[in-house]
Amino acid sequence: MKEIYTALHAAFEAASASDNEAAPAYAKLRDGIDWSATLRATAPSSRPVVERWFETACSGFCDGPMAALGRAVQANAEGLEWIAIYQAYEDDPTLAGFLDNYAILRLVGPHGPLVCEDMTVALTLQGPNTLYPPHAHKQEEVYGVLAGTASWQRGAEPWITRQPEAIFLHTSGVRHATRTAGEPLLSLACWTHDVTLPIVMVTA
Amino acid sequence: MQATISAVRNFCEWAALQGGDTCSEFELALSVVEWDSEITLPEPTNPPVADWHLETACGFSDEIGSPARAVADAVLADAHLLRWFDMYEHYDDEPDMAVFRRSYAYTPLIGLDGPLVCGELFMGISLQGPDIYYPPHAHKAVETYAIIGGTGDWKRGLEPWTSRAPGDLIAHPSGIRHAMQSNVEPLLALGFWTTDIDSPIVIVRG
Repeated sequence: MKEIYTALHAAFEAASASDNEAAPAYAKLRDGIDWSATLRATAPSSRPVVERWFETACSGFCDGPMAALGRAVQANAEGLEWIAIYQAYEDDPTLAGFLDNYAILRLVGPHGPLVCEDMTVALTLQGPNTLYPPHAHKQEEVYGVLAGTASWQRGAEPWITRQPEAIFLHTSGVRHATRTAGEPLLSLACWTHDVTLPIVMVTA
Repeated sequence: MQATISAVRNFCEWAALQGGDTCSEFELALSVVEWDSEITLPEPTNPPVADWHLETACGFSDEIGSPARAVADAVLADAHLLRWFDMYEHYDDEPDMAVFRRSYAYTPLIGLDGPLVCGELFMGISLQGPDIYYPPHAHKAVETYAIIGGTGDWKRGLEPWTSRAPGDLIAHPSGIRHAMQSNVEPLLALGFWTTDIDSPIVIVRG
Protein backbone atom coordinates (compact mmCIF):
# COMPACT_ATOMS: atom_id res chain seq x y z
CA MET A 1 0.00 0.00 0.00
CA LYS A 2 2.86 2.39 0.77
CA GLU A 3 3.80 2.28 -2.89
CA ILE A 4 0.38 3.77 -3.77
CA TYR A 5 0.91 6.77 -1.51
CA THR A 6 4.41 7.37 -2.81
CA ALA A 7 2.97 7.46 -6.34
CA LEU A 8 0.05 9.64 -5.20
CA HIS A 9 2.42 12.17 -3.64
CA ALA A 10 4.50 12.22 -6.82
CA ALA A 11 1.34 12.78 -8.91
CA PHE A 12 0.35 15.70 -6.66
CA GLU A 13 3.86 17.09 -6.91
CA ALA A 14 3.76 17.01 -10.71
CA ALA A 15 0.25 18.47 -10.90
CA SER A 16 1.18 21.26 -8.47
CA ALA A 17 4.08 22.27 -10.68
CA SER A 18 1.93 22.49 -13.81
CA ASP A 19 0.30 25.65 -15.13
CA ASN A 20 -3.12 23.98 -15.04
CA GLU A 21 -5.99 25.69 -13.21
CA ALA A 22 -6.05 22.64 -10.90
CA ALA A 23 -2.45 23.22 -9.72
CA PRO A 24 -3.28 25.24 -6.56
CA ALA A 25 -5.72 22.57 -5.34
CA TYR A 26 -3.17 19.84 -6.00
CA ALA A 27 -0.60 21.82 -4.01
CA LYS A 28 -3.10 22.12 -1.17
CA LEU A 29 -3.56 18.35 -1.20
CA ARG A 30 0.17 17.70 -1.31
CA ASP A 31 0.78 20.05 1.62
CA GLY A 32 -2.33 19.30 3.68
CA ILE A 33 -2.19 15.52 3.85
CA ASP A 34 -0.13 13.92 6.63
CA TRP A 35 1.74 11.42 4.49
CA SER A 36 3.38 9.83 7.53
CA ALA A 37 0.08 8.85 9.18
CA THR A 38 -0.50 5.16 9.86
CA LEU A 39 -2.71 3.50 7.28
CA ARG A 40 -6.02 2.29 8.67
CA ALA A 41 -6.91 -1.32 7.87
CA THR A 42 -9.57 -1.71 5.17
CA ALA A 43 -12.14 -4.43 4.59
CA PRO A 44 -11.48 -5.88 1.12
CA SER A 45 -14.51 -5.52 -1.13
CA SER A 46 -15.20 -5.43 -4.82
CA ARG A 47 -18.01 -4.48 -7.17
CA PRO A 48 -19.12 -6.07 -10.44
CA VAL A 49 -17.77 -3.11 -12.42
CA VAL A 50 -14.35 -3.65 -10.81
CA GLU A 51 -14.34 -7.38 -11.59
CA ARG A 52 -15.35 -6.70 -15.16
CA TRP A 53 -13.35 -3.57 -16.06
CA PHE A 54 -10.46 -2.81 -13.68
CA GLU A 55 -7.86 -4.91 -15.53
CA THR A 56 -9.08 -3.64 -18.90
CA ALA A 57 -8.73 -0.07 -17.63
CA CYS A 58 -5.19 -0.83 -16.45
CA SER A 59 -4.22 -1.82 -19.99
CA GLY A 60 -4.72 1.84 -20.92
CA PHE A 61 -1.97 3.39 -18.81
CA CYS A 62 0.27 5.76 -20.75
CA ASP A 63 3.43 7.38 -19.41
CA GLY A 64 3.24 9.90 -16.63
CA PRO A 65 2.56 10.40 -12.95
CA MET A 66 -1.11 9.41 -13.21
CA ALA A 67 -0.16 6.16 -14.96
CA ALA A 68 2.49 5.51 -12.28
CA LEU A 69 -0.20 5.90 -9.63
CA GLY A 70 -2.42 3.52 -11.59
CA ARG A 71 0.34 0.93 -11.84
CA ALA A 72 0.96 1.15 -8.09
CA VAL A 73 -2.73 0.52 -7.47
CA GLN A 74 -2.72 -2.35 -9.95
CA ALA A 75 0.29 -3.92 -8.20
CA ASN A 76 -1.55 -3.71 -4.88
CA ALA A 77 -4.99 -4.64 -6.19
CA GLU A 78 -5.50 -7.51 -3.74
CA GLY A 79 -7.45 -6.42 -0.69
CA LEU A 80 -8.60 -3.03 -1.94
CA GLU A 81 -11.95 -1.74 -0.70
CA TRP A 82 -14.01 -0.69 -3.73
CA ILE A 83 -17.38 0.69 -2.73
CA ALA A 84 -20.59 2.06 -4.20
CA ILE A 85 -21.68 5.59 -3.39
CA TYR A 86 -25.07 7.25 -3.99
CA GLN A 87 -27.07 4.96 -1.68
CA ALA A 88 -29.69 7.74 -1.56
CA TYR A 89 -30.31 7.25 -5.30
CA GLU A 90 -30.61 3.46 -5.38
CA ASP A 91 -34.39 3.79 -5.78
CA ASP A 92 -34.04 5.93 -8.91
CA PRO A 93 -34.48 3.71 -12.00
CA THR A 94 -32.95 6.36 -14.28
CA LEU A 95 -29.64 5.95 -12.43
CA ALA A 96 -29.50 2.15 -12.36
CA GLY A 97 -27.23 1.93 -15.42
CA PHE A 98 -24.78 4.37 -13.89
CA LEU A 99 -24.80 2.92 -10.37
CA ASP A 100 -24.09 -0.58 -11.74
CA ASN A 101 -21.10 0.76 -13.67
CA TYR A 102 -19.39 2.95 -11.12
CA ALA A 103 -17.32 2.31 -8.00
CA ILE A 104 -14.80 4.25 -5.96
CA LEU A 105 -11.70 3.34 -4.00
CA ARG A 106 -11.00 5.67 -1.10
CA LEU A 107 -7.32 6.50 -0.57
CA VAL A 108 -7.37 9.54 1.74
CA GLY A 109 -10.14 10.97 3.92
CA PRO A 110 -12.02 10.67 7.22
CA HIS A 111 -12.55 6.95 6.48
CA GLY A 112 -8.93 6.36 5.49
CA PRO A 113 -6.99 4.30 4.67
CA LEU A 114 -4.79 7.41 5.06
CA VAL A 115 -6.83 9.39 7.57
CA CYS A 116 -7.40 13.07 6.79
CA GLU A 117 -10.35 14.99 8.21
CA ASP A 118 -10.59 17.87 5.74
CA MET A 119 -9.54 16.50 2.34
CA THR A 120 -10.35 13.36 0.38
CA VAL A 121 -8.71 11.43 -2.43
CA ALA A 122 -10.36 8.53 -4.24
CA LEU A 123 -9.99 6.56 -7.43
CA THR A 124 -13.12 6.16 -9.53
CA LEU A 125 -13.83 3.40 -12.00
CA GLN A 126 -16.55 3.92 -14.60
CA GLY A 127 -17.44 1.20 -17.10
CA PRO A 128 -17.64 1.88 -20.86
CA ASN A 129 -20.67 3.52 -22.50
CA THR A 130 -21.85 4.92 -19.21
CA LEU A 131 -23.12 8.38 -18.36
CA TYR A 132 -22.39 9.76 -14.92
CA PRO A 133 -25.20 12.34 -14.96
CA PRO A 134 -24.77 15.99 -13.95
CA HIS A 135 -24.27 16.45 -10.23
CA ALA A 136 -23.03 19.18 -7.92
CA HIS A 137 -21.47 19.64 -4.50
CA LYS A 138 -20.00 22.51 -2.55
CA GLN A 139 -16.58 20.86 -2.50
CA GLU A 140 -14.04 22.16 -4.99
CA GLU A 141 -12.81 19.10 -6.86
CA VAL A 142 -9.79 18.20 -8.94
CA TYR A 143 -9.67 15.24 -11.27
CA GLY A 144 -6.86 13.35 -12.92
CA VAL A 145 -7.21 10.73 -15.63
CA LEU A 146 -5.24 7.54 -14.92
CA ALA A 147 -6.48 5.51 -17.90
CA GLY A 148 -9.19 5.73 -20.52
CA THR A 149 -10.36 8.51 -22.80
CA ALA A 150 -13.72 9.96 -21.78
CA SER A 151 -15.75 13.17 -22.02
CA TRP A 152 -16.54 15.68 -19.32
CA GLN A 153 -19.01 18.51 -19.14
CA ARG A 154 -18.83 21.42 -16.73
CA GLY A 155 -21.90 23.60 -16.17
CA ALA A 156 -23.31 24.65 -19.56
CA GLU A 157 -19.94 24.28 -21.33
CA PRO A 158 -19.62 21.87 -24.25
CA TRP A 159 -18.42 18.31 -23.64
CA ILE A 160 -14.62 18.02 -23.62
CA THR A 161 -12.72 14.82 -24.44
CA ARG A 162 -9.90 14.23 -21.99
CA GLN A 163 -6.97 11.85 -22.38
CA PRO A 164 -4.93 9.96 -19.80
CA GLU A 165 -2.76 12.26 -17.63
CA ALA A 166 -5.21 15.17 -18.02
CA ILE A 167 -5.91 17.14 -14.84
CA PHE A 168 -8.75 19.59 -14.39
CA LEU A 169 -10.78 21.53 -11.88
CA HIS A 170 -14.44 21.64 -10.87
CA THR A 171 -15.04 24.84 -8.93
CA SER A 172 -17.34 24.88 -5.90
CA GLY A 173 -20.96 24.07 -6.77
CA VAL A 174 -20.48 23.69 -10.54
CA ARG A 175 -22.48 20.93 -12.26
CA HIS A 176 -20.38 18.29 -13.94
CA ALA A 177 -20.97 15.05 -15.82
CA THR A 178 -18.76 12.29 -17.25
CA ARG A 179 -19.48 10.12 -20.28
CA THR A 180 -17.44 7.09 -21.28
CA ALA A 181 -17.40 5.63 -24.78
CA GLY A 182 -15.74 2.31 -25.64
CA GLU A 183 -13.15 2.39 -22.84
CA PRO A 184 -13.52 2.15 -19.08
CA LEU A 185 -12.25 5.16 -17.16
CA LEU A 186 -9.97 5.07 -14.14
CA SER A 187 -9.58 8.51 -12.61
CA LEU A 188 -8.48 10.34 -9.51
CA ALA A 189 -10.97 12.61 -7.73
CA CYS A 190 -9.99 14.85 -4.83
CA TRP A 191 -11.84 17.29 -2.59
CA THR A 192 -10.01 20.02 -0.70
CA HIS A 193 -12.70 21.20 1.76
CA ASP A 194 -16.17 20.49 3.18
CA VAL A 195 -15.64 16.76 2.60
CA THR A 196 -18.67 15.69 4.62
CA LEU A 197 -21.16 17.69 2.54
CA PRO A 198 -23.45 15.84 0.10
CA ILE A 199 -23.51 15.35 -3.66
CA VAL A 200 -26.84 16.09 -5.35
CA MET A 201 -27.85 14.92 -8.84
CA VAL A 202 -29.00 17.92 -10.92
CA THR A 203 -31.56 16.95 -13.54
CA ALA A 204 -32.11 20.27 -15.29
CA MET B 1 -50.81 27.41 15.30
CA GLN B 2 -54.10 25.64 14.69
CA ALA B 3 -55.19 28.64 12.63
CA THR B 4 -52.23 28.24 10.26
CA ILE B 5 -52.58 24.45 9.96
CA SER B 6 -56.31 24.81 9.17
CA ALA B 7 -55.71 27.54 6.60
CA VAL B 8 -52.97 25.46 4.97
CA ARG B 9 -55.27 22.44 4.80
CA ASN B 10 -57.96 24.56 3.15
CA PHE B 11 -55.38 25.93 0.75
CA CYS B 12 -54.32 22.38 -0.21
CA GLU B 13 -57.96 21.43 -0.84
CA TRP B 14 -58.33 24.44 -3.12
CA ALA B 15 -54.99 23.81 -4.87
CA ALA B 16 -55.83 20.13 -5.50
CA LEU B 17 -58.81 21.33 -7.54
CA GLN B 18 -56.76 23.66 -9.73
CA GLY B 19 -55.35 20.89 -11.94
CA GLY B 20 -51.91 21.29 -13.50
CA ASP B 21 -48.67 19.65 -12.48
CA THR B 22 -49.05 20.34 -8.75
CA CYS B 23 -52.51 18.78 -8.37
CA SER B 24 -51.30 15.28 -7.47
CA GLU B 25 -48.84 16.64 -4.90
CA PHE B 26 -51.54 18.60 -3.08
CA GLU B 27 -53.75 15.50 -3.16
CA LEU B 28 -50.89 13.52 -1.65
CA ALA B 29 -50.44 16.11 1.10
CA LEU B 30 -54.13 15.95 1.91
CA SER B 31 -54.02 12.16 2.18
CA VAL B 32 -50.76 11.52 4.07
CA VAL B 33 -50.97 14.27 6.70
CA GLU B 34 -53.02 13.55 9.83
CA TRP B 35 -54.37 17.06 9.93
CA ASP B 36 -56.19 16.72 13.24
CA SER B 37 -53.29 15.25 15.23
CA GLU B 38 -51.66 17.13 18.07
CA ILE B 39 -49.50 20.18 17.37
CA THR B 40 -46.26 20.50 19.34
CA LEU B 41 -45.02 24.05 19.58
CA PRO B 42 -41.27 24.67 19.63
CA GLU B 43 -39.61 27.62 21.34
CA PRO B 44 -40.44 30.55 19.03
CA THR B 45 -37.77 32.79 17.49
CA ASN B 46 -37.94 36.14 15.78
CA PRO B 47 -34.96 36.57 13.44
CA PRO B 48 -34.48 39.97 11.74
CA VAL B 49 -36.00 38.83 8.44
CA ALA B 50 -39.23 37.82 10.21
CA ASP B 51 -39.21 40.90 12.40
CA TRP B 52 -38.79 43.24 9.42
CA HIS B 53 -40.60 41.52 6.57
CA LEU B 54 -43.23 38.99 7.67
CA GLU B 55 -46.03 41.48 8.16
CA THR B 56 -45.19 43.25 4.90
CA ALA B 57 -45.12 39.97 2.99
CA CYS B 58 -48.53 39.02 4.39
CA GLY B 59 -49.81 42.43 3.30
CA PHE B 60 -48.83 41.64 -0.30
CA SER B 61 -51.06 38.57 -0.38
CA ASP B 62 -54.08 37.78 -2.54
CA GLU B 63 -57.54 39.39 -2.23
CA ILE B 64 -59.65 38.92 0.89
CA GLY B 65 -61.46 35.60 0.86
CA SER B 66 -58.84 33.84 -1.26
CA PRO B 67 -57.11 30.70 0.09
CA ALA B 68 -53.67 32.35 -0.09
CA ARG B 69 -54.88 35.39 1.86
CA ALA B 70 -56.36 33.07 4.51
CA VAL B 71 -52.94 31.45 4.98
CA ALA B 72 -51.24 34.87 5.14
CA ASP B 73 -53.70 36.09 7.76
CA ALA B 74 -53.31 32.91 9.83
CA VAL B 75 -49.49 33.07 9.68
CA LEU B 76 -49.63 36.66 10.84
CA ALA B 77 -51.94 35.72 13.71
CA ASP B 78 -49.61 32.84 14.69
CA ALA B 79 -46.39 34.78 14.09
CA HIS B 80 -45.49 34.84 17.80
CA LEU B 81 -45.49 31.00 17.81
CA LEU B 82 -43.16 30.39 14.88
CA ARG B 83 -39.63 29.07 15.12
CA TRP B 84 -37.52 30.12 12.13
CA PHE B 85 -34.50 28.26 10.76
CA ASP B 86 -31.49 28.90 8.55
CA MET B 87 -30.69 25.79 6.50
CA TYR B 88 -27.49 27.02 4.88
CA GLU B 89 -25.10 27.37 7.82
CA HIS B 90 -22.46 25.36 5.96
CA TYR B 91 -22.34 28.12 3.29
CA ASP B 92 -21.15 30.70 5.81
CA ASP B 93 -17.92 31.26 3.85
CA GLU B 94 -19.63 32.35 0.61
CA PRO B 95 -20.29 36.13 0.35
CA ASP B 96 -23.52 35.98 -1.70
CA MET B 97 -24.88 33.31 0.63
CA ALA B 98 -24.09 35.51 3.62
CA VAL B 99 -26.29 38.25 2.12
CA PHE B 100 -29.02 35.73 1.28
CA ARG B 101 -28.95 34.07 4.71
CA ARG B 102 -29.44 37.38 6.49
CA SER B 103 -32.75 37.82 4.65
CA TYR B 104 -34.14 34.30 4.43
CA ALA B 105 -35.66 31.88 6.91
CA TYR B 106 -38.18 29.08 6.97
CA THR B 107 -40.50 27.80 9.64
CA PRO B 108 -41.55 24.13 9.58
CA LEU B 109 -45.25 23.31 9.80
CA ILE B 110 -45.39 19.57 9.10
CA GLY B 111 -42.65 16.94 9.16
CA LEU B 112 -40.66 14.43 11.16
CA ASP B 113 -40.02 17.02 13.89
CA GLY B 114 -43.43 18.70 13.77
CA PRO B 115 -45.05 20.97 14.77
CA LEU B 116 -47.56 18.59 13.11
CA VAL B 117 -45.75 15.23 12.95
CA CYS B 118 -45.69 13.42 9.59
CA GLY B 119 -43.10 10.93 8.34
CA GLU B 120 -44.00 11.15 4.66
CA LEU B 121 -44.07 14.85 3.92
CA PHE B 122 -42.19 17.97 4.91
CA MET B 123 -43.97 21.32 4.73
CA GLY B 124 -42.93 24.78 5.82
CA ILE B 125 -43.27 28.47 5.12
CA SER B 126 -40.33 30.38 3.69
CA LEU B 127 -39.74 34.10 3.96
CA GLN B 128 -37.34 36.02 1.72
CA GLY B 129 -36.70 39.72 2.23
CA PRO B 130 -36.99 42.27 -0.62
CA ASP B 131 -34.22 42.58 -3.23
CA ILE B 132 -32.72 39.23 -2.30
CA TYR B 133 -31.38 36.57 -4.66
CA TYR B 134 -31.76 32.93 -3.64
CA PRO B 135 -29.14 31.28 -5.87
CA PRO B 136 -29.97 28.17 -7.93
CA HIS B 137 -30.14 25.07 -5.78
CA ALA B 138 -31.23 21.47 -6.19
CA HIS B 139 -32.31 18.48 -4.13
CA LYS B 140 -33.65 15.00 -4.76
CA ALA B 141 -36.97 15.73 -3.05
CA VAL B 142 -39.94 16.49 -5.30
CA GLU B 143 -41.03 19.97 -4.24
CA THR B 144 -44.20 21.98 -4.57
CA TYR B 145 -44.51 25.69 -3.85
CA ALA B 146 -47.47 27.98 -3.45
CA ILE B 147 -47.01 31.74 -3.32
CA ILE B 148 -48.73 33.18 -0.26
CA GLY B 149 -47.48 36.77 -0.22
CA GLY B 150 -45.36 38.94 -2.51
CA THR B 151 -44.77 38.91 -6.24
CA GLY B 152 -41.26 37.93 -7.29
CA ASP B 153 -39.29 36.19 -10.02
CA TRP B 154 -38.80 32.44 -10.03
CA LYS B 155 -36.60 30.32 -12.28
CA ARG B 156 -36.76 26.59 -12.90
CA GLY B 157 -34.05 24.67 -14.79
CA LEU B 158 -33.35 26.29 -18.15
CA GLU B 159 -36.72 28.05 -18.30
CA PRO B 160 -36.77 31.86 -18.33
CA TRP B 161 -37.37 33.84 -15.17
CA THR B 162 -41.10 34.01 -14.49
CA SER B 163 -43.00 36.49 -12.32
CA ARG B 164 -45.08 34.61 -9.75
CA ALA B 165 -47.91 36.14 -7.73
CA PRO B 166 -49.91 35.02 -4.66
CA GLY B 167 -51.98 31.94 -5.45
CA ASP B 168 -49.52 30.67 -8.08
CA LEU B 169 -48.50 27.01 -7.76
CA ILE B 170 -45.06 25.73 -8.83
CA ALA B 171 -43.79 22.17 -9.32
CA HIS B 172 -40.09 21.38 -8.93
CA PRO B 173 -39.39 17.83 -10.18
CA SER B 174 -36.63 15.83 -8.49
CA GLY B 175 -33.16 17.32 -9.01
CA ILE B 176 -34.20 20.41 -10.99
CA ARG B 177 -32.37 23.66 -10.28
CA HIS B 178 -34.51 26.53 -9.07
CA ALA B 179 -33.83 30.09 -7.99
CA MET B 180 -35.85 33.03 -6.66
CA GLN B 181 -35.31 36.79 -6.96
CA SER B 182 -37.41 39.10 -4.80
CA ASN B 183 -37.86 42.67 -5.93
CA VAL B 184 -39.67 45.41 -4.01
CA GLU B 185 -41.89 42.96 -2.14
CA PRO B 186 -40.69 40.27 0.26
CA LEU B 187 -41.77 36.71 -0.59
CA LEU B 188 -43.79 34.41 1.62
CA ALA B 189 -44.31 30.91 0.21
CA LEU B 190 -45.69 27.58 1.31
CA GLY B 191 -43.38 24.79 0.25
CA PHE B 192 -43.45 21.04 0.71
CA TRP B 193 -41.53 17.89 -0.15
CA THR B 194 -43.40 14.72 -1.03
CA THR B 195 -40.42 12.37 -1.58
CA ASP B 196 -37.02 12.00 0.07
CA ILE B 197 -37.92 14.35 2.91
CA ASP B 198 -34.42 14.18 4.39
CA SER B 199 -32.77 15.27 1.11
CA PRO B 200 -29.73 17.51 1.31
CA ILE B 201 -29.76 20.74 -0.72
CA VAL B 202 -26.83 21.90 -2.83
CA ILE B 203 -26.28 25.41 -4.21
CA VAL B 204 -25.48 24.99 -7.93
CA ARG B 205 -23.02 27.47 -9.46
CA GLY B 206 -23.34 26.88 -13.16
